[in-house]
Amino acid sequence: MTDDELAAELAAAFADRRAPREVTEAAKGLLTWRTIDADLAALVEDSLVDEEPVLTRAAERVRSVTFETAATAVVLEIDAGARRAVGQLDPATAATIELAGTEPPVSVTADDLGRFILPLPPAGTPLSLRLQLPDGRIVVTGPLAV
Amino acid sequence: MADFVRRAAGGDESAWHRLVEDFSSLVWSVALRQGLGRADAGEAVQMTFLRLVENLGKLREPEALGGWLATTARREAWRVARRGSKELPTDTELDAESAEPGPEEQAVTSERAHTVRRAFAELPERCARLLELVVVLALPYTQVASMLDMPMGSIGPTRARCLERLRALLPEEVGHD
Repeated sequence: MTDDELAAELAAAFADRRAPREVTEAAKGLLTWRTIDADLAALVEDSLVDEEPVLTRAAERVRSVTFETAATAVVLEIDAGARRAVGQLDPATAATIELAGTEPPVSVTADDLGRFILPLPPAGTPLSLRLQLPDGRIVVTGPLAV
Repeated sequence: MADFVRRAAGGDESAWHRLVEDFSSLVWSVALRQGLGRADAGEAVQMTFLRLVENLGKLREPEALGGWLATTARREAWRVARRGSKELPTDTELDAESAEPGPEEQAVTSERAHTVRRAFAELPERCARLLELVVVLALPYTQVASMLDMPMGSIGPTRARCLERLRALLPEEVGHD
């Protein structure tokens, strides 16, 4: 058998190491997160990953995550057990905050000190926020598995 | 590759699709190797590509994208595993490097594929790594060169040499027909 035939044989033997078609197709749809009229706030800190493991069940701990754009930070304390998150905007500002991907849409407001409380989406739905700031800017946080 | 990254950063869907096509198997294989089951691995793949979307404009070395994605995939797989899952095996970390297929996958793997896998497992580490990246995951040569820190011109010849070693490890009726 030629090299290419052997390579094909090898590729077939390890077909399970290649991404299933539906996984690849789903990832193709992700570019739309990068919308032109919104600042995408990137995940910069996640206590789940950044902290030393501790001897309690993950579900019992409050997880702290931070998303940032150049101008705005969103800090979330996620309580998976209670299915809710407490948030803080930095710099502090009032804002309208929508939970993406929920039906019916869930919307909460941050007070003048930038504080807000929101319910978590159902398990399996990634958490993503769309913030409308008083100056008209829109900030979207990248989805997070919660 | 730098061109695809730049175009995707500018919102070009077809360039993005090309990046996903080229790299989704690499990201998937890293997630499996971290011990995730298939549903969790699928989620880790989505999260990894989201991190790429977030960072498209900031990648300093697009030629090292494969390495960046592998590192990010390990972190996202870890995140999914730490969050906890119904399907997470209890000894994830112990199994992390083995990445053996689950029993149901083994059942549907043909006898011939088994033979090839056994021979592959006998290869020297460097050959196994190169053939995995080039043949199994079908990554672009530029990325393989960067990930394995070898000149691009030597990938083709090394691929041939490693396939030759694999052929020698296969029983007569498989490798030489």
